[in-house]
Amino acid sequence: MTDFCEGSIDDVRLDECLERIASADMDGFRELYELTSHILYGFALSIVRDEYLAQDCLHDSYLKIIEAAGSYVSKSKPLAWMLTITRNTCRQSFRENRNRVSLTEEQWLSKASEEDQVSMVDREFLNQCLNQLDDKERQVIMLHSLTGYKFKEIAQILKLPLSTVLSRHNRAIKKLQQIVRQEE
Amino acid sequence: MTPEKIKEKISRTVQKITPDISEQIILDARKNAYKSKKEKAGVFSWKPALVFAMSCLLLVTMIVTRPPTKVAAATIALDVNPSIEVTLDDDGKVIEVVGKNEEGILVVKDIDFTGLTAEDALKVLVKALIKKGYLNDSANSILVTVDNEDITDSVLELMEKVLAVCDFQCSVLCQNLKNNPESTALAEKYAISIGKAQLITELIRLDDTYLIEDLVRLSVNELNLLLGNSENTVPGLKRMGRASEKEYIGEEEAKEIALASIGATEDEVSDYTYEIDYRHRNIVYVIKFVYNNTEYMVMVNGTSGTILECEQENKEYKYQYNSDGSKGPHNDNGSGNGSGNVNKGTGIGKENAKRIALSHANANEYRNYRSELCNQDGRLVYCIEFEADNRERKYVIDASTGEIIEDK
Repeated sequence: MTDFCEGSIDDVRLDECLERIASADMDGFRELYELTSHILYGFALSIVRDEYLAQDCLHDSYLKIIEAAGSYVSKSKPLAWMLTITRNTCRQSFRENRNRVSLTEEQWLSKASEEDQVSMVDREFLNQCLNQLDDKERQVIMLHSLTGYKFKEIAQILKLPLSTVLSRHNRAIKKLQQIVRQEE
Repeated sequence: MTPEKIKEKISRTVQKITPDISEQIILDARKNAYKSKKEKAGVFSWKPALVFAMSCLLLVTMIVTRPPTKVAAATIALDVNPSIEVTLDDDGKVIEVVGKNEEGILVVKDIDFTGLTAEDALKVLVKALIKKGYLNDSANSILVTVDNEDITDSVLELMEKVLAVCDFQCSVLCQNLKNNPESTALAEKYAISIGKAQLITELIRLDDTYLIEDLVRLSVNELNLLLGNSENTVPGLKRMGRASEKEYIGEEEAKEIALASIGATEDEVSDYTYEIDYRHRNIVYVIKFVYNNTEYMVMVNGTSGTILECEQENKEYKYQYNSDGSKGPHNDNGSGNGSGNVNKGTGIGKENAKRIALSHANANEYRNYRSELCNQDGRLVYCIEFEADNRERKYVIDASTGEIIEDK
């Protein structure tokens, strides 16, 4: 997976990947997945708050992206386009899975032991992030953390006024800082 | 920790837990493509020459005229009694309208919503609800549940616009759908809509004396009446207009009944308040006021006007009482209680009930006296509580005979 804050996402590279996918070159997809899966997954997680459901959404979103790659017209914002598809897929999935019960805190934390790479502390922090922030705060903080997008771009993706995004971001950061202080 | 560090921590964790399902996706994409190709081939295989021509034509037509795939962007659920769900695409156009219960299916069954905007679809639905008698001046409430927080305010505005054409006042309750397993289980168990279940869950969270079994039977208008109660402010719920009280006696009549029951007039009482609530399986008016330094709470049945409960409380004044029952309570300024009998019928009356209880407890001094006239298994009784000799006393006294049914 890509390193954090490598700068803004390389849109030209993503466009090239989509072009390759459109011409049935699946290596193009592998590269796209490598570059973007953590962003789409994190965004899905911030909407559905369930790891299994987020994985299903990730799967369905990429299928839609592959299917639509042929008709995709680049407007220099391929990631924004992919995030919109992810958001719509999550909402649809959310509606279809209303009966689903999310992972309990214990289940969520027990997954930490299954994945050596993730420390219990980090997972607990992410869990708190998902549970203590409201829907919009989560989405803003997740997009800002994962994409390196500017608030203006996040506002466009979430279809919210810039001031709202900024206030939600600040509120979320304050809540998270409080969580960190409590943990310390 | 700085905001940057926090975000770095989130990003690092998400990257680590992101599943690698790329090969599975490639496999499924290939399967889908193959399936789609096979389906197309199956249709035209009987004339290979035509297949090619048709495929080319189809491809060109698809490229030129294919509408974008409609993806559901939001769902607006309406509950009156009929439950109806409207699914919208990103442009605010209707994808589908579905009746979610028997009445809802009947409302939408003969209507073509294809291509309508959200506003037009809601207009058509409101018209149909009025025509079929579900929405009228006695049942004027609509519960709207939206699964997209971004559009809640605009949906409420839209509803206001749509309902402006009605010749009676409507009320709208607008809430965001929450992923609450408790509501989902409730909706399934009682076959009600998820929106109504969510509202009931919230109401019970605010007041756990409400019973689920009671609230699920209430109409949206009745639930809306309860939401008019200042203690029932559901977080995030937006409310427009007032629920109709036409089916009930109304505040004025309830007030008259309550005041008459203790022999007071409107001029003699202060701190008057009223609320609508649901108790004893009835919509009730809870009338509170102060009369002769005593706080009263009278609960009046909203439909029949009968008194279901009457309670008085005086915390500030210590009462003296002679065990021979000759003297009523008095306060420091020496004035008597002076209130009339609560029961003007054939019962013993609240004062006699009080004498019986105090005499039995041998209580010369007492405080925090409360009494309620209530229905216990079909029998009218006074439930009395007070403190005497540093002890809490409770009595249940038959309101007709004065018999002590219970004492603690």
